[in-house]
Amino acid sequence: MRLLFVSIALMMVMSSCQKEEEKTVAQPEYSSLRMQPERDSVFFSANNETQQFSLTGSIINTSEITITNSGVMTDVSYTVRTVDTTFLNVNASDAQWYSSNSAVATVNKGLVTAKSPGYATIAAQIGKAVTKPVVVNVRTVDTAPGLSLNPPDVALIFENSVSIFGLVQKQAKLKVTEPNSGFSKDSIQYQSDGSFGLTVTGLNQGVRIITARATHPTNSSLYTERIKTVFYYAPGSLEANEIVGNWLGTTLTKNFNFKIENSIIPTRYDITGKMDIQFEGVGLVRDIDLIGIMNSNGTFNVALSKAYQGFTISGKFDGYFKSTGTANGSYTAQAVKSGWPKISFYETWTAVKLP
Amino acid sequence: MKIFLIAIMFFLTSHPSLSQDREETKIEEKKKSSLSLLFGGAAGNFAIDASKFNSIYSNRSVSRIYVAGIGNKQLLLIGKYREFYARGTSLVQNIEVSGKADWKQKFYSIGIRLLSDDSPLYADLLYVVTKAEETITTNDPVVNELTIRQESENKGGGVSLGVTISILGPINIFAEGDYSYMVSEDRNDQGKVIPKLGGVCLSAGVVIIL
Repeated sequence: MRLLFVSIALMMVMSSCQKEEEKTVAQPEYSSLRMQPERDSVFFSANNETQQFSLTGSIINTSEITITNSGVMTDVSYTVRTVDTTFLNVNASDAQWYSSNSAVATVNKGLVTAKSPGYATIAAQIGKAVTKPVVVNVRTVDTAPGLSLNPPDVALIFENSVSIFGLVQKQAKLKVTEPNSGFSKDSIQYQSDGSFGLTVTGLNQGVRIITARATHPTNSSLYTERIKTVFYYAPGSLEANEIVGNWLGTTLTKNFNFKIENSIIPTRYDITGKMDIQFEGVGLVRDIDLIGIMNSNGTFNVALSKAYQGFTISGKFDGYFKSTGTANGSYTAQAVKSGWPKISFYETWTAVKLP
Repeated sequence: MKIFLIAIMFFLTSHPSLSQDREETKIEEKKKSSLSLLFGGAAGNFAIDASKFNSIYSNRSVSRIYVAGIGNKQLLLIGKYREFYARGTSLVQNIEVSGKADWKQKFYSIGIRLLSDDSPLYADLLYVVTKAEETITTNDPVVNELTIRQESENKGGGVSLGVTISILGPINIFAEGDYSYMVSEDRNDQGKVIPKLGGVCLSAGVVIIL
């Protein structure tokens, strides 16, 4: 009887353990993790200021299809790899969080707390996926506040205004000025995480230097300045016309040419060109058309397109000018045909204007 | 082989009934000269041994055959040349595109022809070399990675059994069945063994015998 009782008890315990295992939800295997705020550095004040960091995970599903063609005497095949990426919001408590210097900043389930002045690196990990580290810059109340501007530091524009974005340490006073045009804006509002954006208007033609200054809330002698340089050339001006003409683009795998012409829209320029792309499984597709415009803020809005043996080749060609002689950017192209796996291609490019 | 030789002898001796006129003509020809020349052409249907062939090649051409020989009325040294073309659809997998296949094959044969004065039947014993070329690709679009050309050369033997009927002077019509069997083994560029490329060819044509 005693033995029977022990056996029944043992079975109940085992059954209970099994149910616990069934309740456990398996974590997806993330291929990468991204931390928000998505910045290289974040400013904190050394007075137990806190900020909640969050995570986004990506899951990559890779599949391979082997395509074959067979005859009597021979057969030939090639393999196409397709990659699908899914992004998911990740519960911060599911990750392991790390602080490189807990004396400066601690982190608990994504909540970062500033402890003392200095630098600490915050990162998170789930399985093999690790976030890019974010540097927490904890500053004392008696130092100049932190300030950073988003790239590019130098840009070519064709209108009298430009938008700038950045990050400022909270509680600091933010001011942006451009002395040539007399633009000045004080007490600029920023988000709870310190991010800000504004448009500088009324610029005069030429090389203009926009200065952002973050000043200590109580001690005006403590401040940090950052500079963004813009080349503002009105369309039709001599300097602006220096971009009109033929350009030589270069990637890791190819050279290509494009041409910039004055558009019928006064503040725009037309961009046309040709590019060859080697698509896996499709072969070398020559003379893919680049057609689009250059925006008045200096950015490109150019599309790739071509019909090739039943495929639709499409893509986006992005970039911006850094001066009238140089430009850089990237492009993404894809080949699509019914019944075929989608084949994508990505490259960065630089370009110089040909004499 | 023994059965085969018996069959040949049977064919050569089993048709004694020729017309009196033809017998007389032959006798006269024998008297004139013992040298005999033969040349002609034919068209036929070739059924290749490779089993996968029929599933790919649906559009076959009529084989063109050329024959020439020299010898006497009992034994000829004979040469044959045969061309065979086919078109079809290669087997494409895992992609929605149609395949395309082209086949070209040539047979070079040399051997002896056994004849009989008393019979319109003949038998050929042949040494055969065949060269085949296959190109597979795709239609709309042509995918370079799915396009390949392969050549193969096979050697072997062949035997033909046929009948010749004189219709006008030296002009004869003939019909024959030919079977070629390849013994050499060839491999494709991927190292796989290529199927034997012999087979049966049934043909009919015209031959001039001088």
